[in-house]
Amino acid sequence: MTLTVPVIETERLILREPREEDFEALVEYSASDRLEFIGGPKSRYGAWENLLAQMGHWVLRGYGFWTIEDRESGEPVGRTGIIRHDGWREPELGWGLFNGMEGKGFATEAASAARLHAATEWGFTRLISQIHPDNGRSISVALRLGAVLEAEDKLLGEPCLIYRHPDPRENANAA
Amino acid sequence: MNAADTLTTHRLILRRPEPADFEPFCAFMMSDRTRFLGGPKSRRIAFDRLANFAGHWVMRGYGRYIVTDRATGRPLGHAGAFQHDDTIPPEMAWSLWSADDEGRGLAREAAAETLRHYRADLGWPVVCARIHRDNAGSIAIARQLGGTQVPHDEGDTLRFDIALAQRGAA
Repeated sequence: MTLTVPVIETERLILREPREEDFEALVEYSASDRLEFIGGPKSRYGAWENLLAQMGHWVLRGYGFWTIEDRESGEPVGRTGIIRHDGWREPELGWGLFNGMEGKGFATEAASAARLHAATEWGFTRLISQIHPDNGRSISVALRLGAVLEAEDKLLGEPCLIYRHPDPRENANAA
Repeated sequence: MNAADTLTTHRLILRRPEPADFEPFCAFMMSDRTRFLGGPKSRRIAFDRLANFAGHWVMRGYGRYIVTDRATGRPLGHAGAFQHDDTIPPEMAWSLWSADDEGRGLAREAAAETLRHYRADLGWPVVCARIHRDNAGSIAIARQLGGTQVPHDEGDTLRFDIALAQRGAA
């Protein structure tokens, strides 16, 4: 069983498989307070385990998180994709930008491409995103993507807002 | 050079992790059989751990094999090397997931086959195993595999190094 991760290109970004060369950017990101709402910060070892688990998720589920690469610089700028840990209510569209990569619309651009791929290739037409209520930046991305608040719940003991995404194939057709 | 995807012994087939391994692996992780490995763990952690196994194969080209019964295909445990920390040699594991499968030398048979492969086909000089000092069964396997205890400053964890090059000369 080998890992075959599709490559997706957008105007400014490439979504490709996680690689070991992403590790240092991931360590820096994992150590920062940017993971405050998603179970962090994590140690260097925690970041390593996370990178392995991200790759292995593709093997076990057939889908997972891509590394987002800036086409211009070739640098990894963050991650997006579909994740379903054990105990997740359903597959989830997630995103996260590495340190210093905010404010350029990368998360919206990348997550939008991931969402369309998930709908057309994997049949995930109405994905959720689970977001901590204090994570205003991520909520903004969800709203820009056209997701609507569907429920409030708890996830791993923390409050969580469940946003429901529109079927991106309809948007694609309308565009 | 990548490790073989599959290894076969008299009684076992060792292969890469698959999605269907999750439930038996999870039962192991949630049991007190992981008491010397930092467990028991939740289902969620168990999933991430199996994903770790699969991801390590992708990234390093080797990793934990799932040990299966050659006759029935039933997953029995895992064995093989990881490399988290470049300051120590690749680190071995050998675990049987159910107490029912103990006492027949299956863990040792699986681990010995991976060591044979690492030496003969990959040319590795040495591996190590870090084992809780109270885990007598695992320490016994380390010694049977030629492991020698080396100084290691990590609480209740002992370290055994297993020199593979010397085995080749025998």
